Amino acid sequence: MIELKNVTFEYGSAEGAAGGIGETVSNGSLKNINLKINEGEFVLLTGGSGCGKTTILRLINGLIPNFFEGKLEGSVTVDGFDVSHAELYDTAKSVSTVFQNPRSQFFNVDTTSELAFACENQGMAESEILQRIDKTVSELHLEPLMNRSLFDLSGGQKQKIACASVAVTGNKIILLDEPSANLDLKTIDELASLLKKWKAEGKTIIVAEHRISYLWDLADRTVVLKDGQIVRELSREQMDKISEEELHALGLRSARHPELVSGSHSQEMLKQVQHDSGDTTCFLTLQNFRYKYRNGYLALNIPQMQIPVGKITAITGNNGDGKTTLLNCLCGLGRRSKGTLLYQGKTYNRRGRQKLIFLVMQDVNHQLFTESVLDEVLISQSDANEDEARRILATLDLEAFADRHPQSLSGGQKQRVAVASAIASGRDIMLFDEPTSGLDYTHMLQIGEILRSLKDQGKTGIVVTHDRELIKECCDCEICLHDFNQINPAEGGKDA
Amino acid sequence: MPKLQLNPIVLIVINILAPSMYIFLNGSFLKIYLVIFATVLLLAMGCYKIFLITALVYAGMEGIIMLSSIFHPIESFALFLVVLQQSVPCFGLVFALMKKYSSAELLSSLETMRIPRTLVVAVTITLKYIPTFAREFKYIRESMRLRGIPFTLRRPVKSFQYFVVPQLFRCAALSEEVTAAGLVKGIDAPIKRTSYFEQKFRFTDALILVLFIAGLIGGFLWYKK
Repeated sequence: MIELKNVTFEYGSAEGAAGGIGETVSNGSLKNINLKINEGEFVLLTGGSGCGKTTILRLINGLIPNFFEGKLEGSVTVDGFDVSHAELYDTAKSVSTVFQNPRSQFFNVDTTSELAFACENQGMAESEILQRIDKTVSELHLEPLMNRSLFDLSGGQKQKIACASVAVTGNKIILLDEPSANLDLKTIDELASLLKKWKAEGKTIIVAEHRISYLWDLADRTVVLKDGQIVRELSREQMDKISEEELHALGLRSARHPELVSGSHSQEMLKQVQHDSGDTTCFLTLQNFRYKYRNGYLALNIPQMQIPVGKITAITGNNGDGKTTLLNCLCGLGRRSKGTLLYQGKTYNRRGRQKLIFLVMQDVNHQLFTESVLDEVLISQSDANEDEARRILATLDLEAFADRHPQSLSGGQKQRVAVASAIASGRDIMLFDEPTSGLDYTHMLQIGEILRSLKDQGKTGIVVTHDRELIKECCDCEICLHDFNQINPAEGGKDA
Repeated sequence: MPKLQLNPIVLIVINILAPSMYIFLNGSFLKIYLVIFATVLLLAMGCYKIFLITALVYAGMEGIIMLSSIFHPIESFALFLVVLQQSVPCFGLVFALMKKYSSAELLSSLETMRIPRTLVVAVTITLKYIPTFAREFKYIRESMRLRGIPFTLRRPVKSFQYFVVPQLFRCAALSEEVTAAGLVKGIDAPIKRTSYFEQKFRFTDALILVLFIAGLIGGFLWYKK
């Protein structure tokens, strides 16, 4: 049994804080939490960004106060064992954790070593480790992923390895911190079935998550947090009865899978748009978009595709359908990308597109360079104009942060800074790569609002996303890339 | 013929011993001895490509050194090559080590050599982070290009800052995450780590090491006379 008794925690420094300067979200600290989790129970922890759900997981696995320092009151026990005063390697023998970011939760460079890692640290015998790895690999069907470099795996594959490394330890308590943040719908389904299996095996599972729909039928109990306090606990019966409106009122995302917009539907929608306007100038026309890797693998082959101008278009598809490759080709990155873009009667080649299109990357940290938010906007303008820059910042509620360092802002604020630079650069077409991955309901709505306001300013938005709720919220049409990307497997992807 | 399977420790020990022996042993003996020993090992391990490349490099250097006796302007360069050439057999073995064994196998053998845990962890992180850094730099370069911010030598400091600042912030975040991930998997447990590799020290491993050391001692005694 896991028990948190009268737990109050405040982070010692900025680390662990989810909210940025001046944002109203709290920083992940907890106030007087009392929570009991029984053996074999499946608990969903949810709530807005910075509500403290990750903090609860860190208390259970001992990272607080052993790694993240701060002021801790109350007691945290796992099977009567006080984890906050125990050494981390002792807690590691009973509690396993899967983290959000598949890129940085591995300590090794290849998959098999990562599976063995936790057992090796416990000094387990070789034969025992090998036996456990074999068992896990066959149970989770990981044979194709074994003995491979972790750098060559996709996000979904990495998350599978992370789950497998937890399974190898055989620990009874498994914590998962937003495990679906970087996964597509298909991989999320696979994750859900793995969780179901673990539940059937009697493991205690605690998941902190914004995206609750894939867990809704699995969890025995949902704990809703706000500003570091438990504001609502839903039993299984209550979870079955609660309405979507009530969930949204609690600041939560949809618990039931939002209705899927089918491929044919999106085609219909496209035709509709075309019919309404009567001409083709209101389309971005992609012609012969191709991308071939150095090893000859053809990742993208789109003979023709049309994206409506002045609308928000969602590009969906599973991992491997070429979504990111399409974005890179659209912005003209990568010398091996081929194809032309027709826009307002002009043809743009790869280099031309670099000046036409702006990409807001999934990890915005890669595209903020300067010392202040204002500078970030100024360097994007062709002629630096401070008044204009401040006006743009004001439209995105960033005026108050003009002199702040961009890296001191929260994730959502950084995203808005990137959008501000996009507007300042005067480009008409804006691409967004998974803008809502790992965002809570409120911030998802905020992104939807930004996208709609860009549309009102006459911009064209293209959003690569797995987020059905975002699509429902702001997208005018949806293109399922799988229907357009003609990678012919019969030719082994090696045609010229 | 079956290829020789060696414990990586053998290669590591040879590589540590060989260069330091130049202090005690006759240089020209050691030079030839190392060439022969490395050739036999590389061929026995089936590293033909590495052998060919190192042999070519070695021969090329030898050629330049010989040429320097008739063509004096390259004398100082040749002198530099004389020193460099001595380490070519060792480089051949290091390449074989890198090609034949994964980083995890190397680390587990470092563990058996009782090298301090902190050093082993440092080596792991370094091995892991070289490709990570490369990837992060690529993203940053691409996003600079997209935003129309050129990396120009006319404004080197500014350009460098644009390039390095995001990388530093990424590093800080990533290193925190990776450390936390290691800790919850018990990286700092004060016990002897085991390893899932069959990394036993076999008879052939011992034989090769004994032969190598016997050759060195033999050479030492022979030239001492």
